[in-house]
Amino acid sequence: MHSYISIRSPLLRSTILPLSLRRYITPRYNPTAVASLSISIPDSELSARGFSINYSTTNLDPSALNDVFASVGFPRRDTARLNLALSHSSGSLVWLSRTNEPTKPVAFARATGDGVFNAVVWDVVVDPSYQGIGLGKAVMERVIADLREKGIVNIALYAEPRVISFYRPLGFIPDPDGIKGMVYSRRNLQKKKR
Amino acid sequence: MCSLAAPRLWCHTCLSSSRFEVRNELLPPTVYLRLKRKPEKRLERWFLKAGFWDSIASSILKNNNATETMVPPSTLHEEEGEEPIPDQLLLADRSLSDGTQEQIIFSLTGDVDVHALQDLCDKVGWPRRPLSKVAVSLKNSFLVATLYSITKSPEGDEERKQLIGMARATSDQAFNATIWDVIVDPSYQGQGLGKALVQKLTRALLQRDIGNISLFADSKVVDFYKNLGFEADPEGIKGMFWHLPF
Repeated sequence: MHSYISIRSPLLRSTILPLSLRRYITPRYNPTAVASLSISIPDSELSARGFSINYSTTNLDPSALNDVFASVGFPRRDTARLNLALSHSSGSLVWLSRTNEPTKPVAFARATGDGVFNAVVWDVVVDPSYQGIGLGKAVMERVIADLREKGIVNIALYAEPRVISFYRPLGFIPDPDGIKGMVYSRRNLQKKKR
Repeated sequence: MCSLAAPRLWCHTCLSSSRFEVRNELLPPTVYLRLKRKPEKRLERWFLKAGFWDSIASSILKNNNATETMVPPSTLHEEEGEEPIPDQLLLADRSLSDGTQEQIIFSLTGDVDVHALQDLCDKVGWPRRPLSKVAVSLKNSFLVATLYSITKSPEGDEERKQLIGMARATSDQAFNATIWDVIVDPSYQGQGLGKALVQKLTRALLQRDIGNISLFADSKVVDFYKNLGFEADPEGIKGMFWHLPF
């Protein structure tokens, strides 16, 4: 699947991405310029290799997803809450399965957001038996493409140190211009309690 | 992103987490709204609690690998004996020098006039966005917290309601939430209102069983969020942003 989209003036908060990066994100509207969505492994090759691409949660077996989470060291999630989260990933959801086992995910990624400006990608996992062959890249590229098609260009994620190098070639920059990802921790407040 | 760029000393005297005593004749009845849960929300809480017991049962019955971890169910709101954050909360009630009475209201009802929001964004220097898209982004946000200033003239006949702050959070409504667009009117900055806004929004998210609350902070406001309990790069985890290929 090689789709082409023209970049109309994307909207960006100046305080999220400062001027130095803005020139990459807010190109002047040029009707003849198109940005090809770079997909390393096209859909046809994935299906030739025996993988199916899914964009919705129908057929997704949540306990199989939990198994993949556990196999990469993520915590298992309560199934009901997992279903709740999956139904509210109003950004994007992409997962790969083996064509002969259509309900078991071998690669997965989901994005949450407001549907127009921002998105955050969570739970990017590849079953360890299928790592190293480009499946993680395949799902990430499709999540990004899906978000961009909706006009969302502010795509963020949180990366453990050992996977930062996985996201860089996909186009992600850590701490652009000093912007820090921060997470709330009740522990921090306990320390400060008077 | 917070617009409180300049480091200032916070005045805590006019702020506390409890409601102030107010003179009845000045307050519209709506301010006393407690958390009015819609029936669906009640069901959702029950549903989530049922899930909690399921998780306990399943962890006992299943033969779990010892190295696997279970996401701990959040019990914050029960154990700490915290009151739920109501839909509207009076933060301050004071007389101004010209005799007008001003009330600052924190609200979670989320009904924001996009024109008022655009005016607010103009004041802090944020770029304008198409109003239709702003409206959609607010509708798709899980929680929208606002600060309003209600001023009453000394005669008591004119009442003006003005949007002076906003923060919103997107979420998958189960595990993660991200706070965006924290904004406070520059003429109301430096009074602890931004702090209250983020604090209340955070607590409201925790009370809805969202365990992971995140945000992306400009380098100048990292300390502001640190003081509110946010940690930068926890365990080395880095925030990354996608950029267009050049």
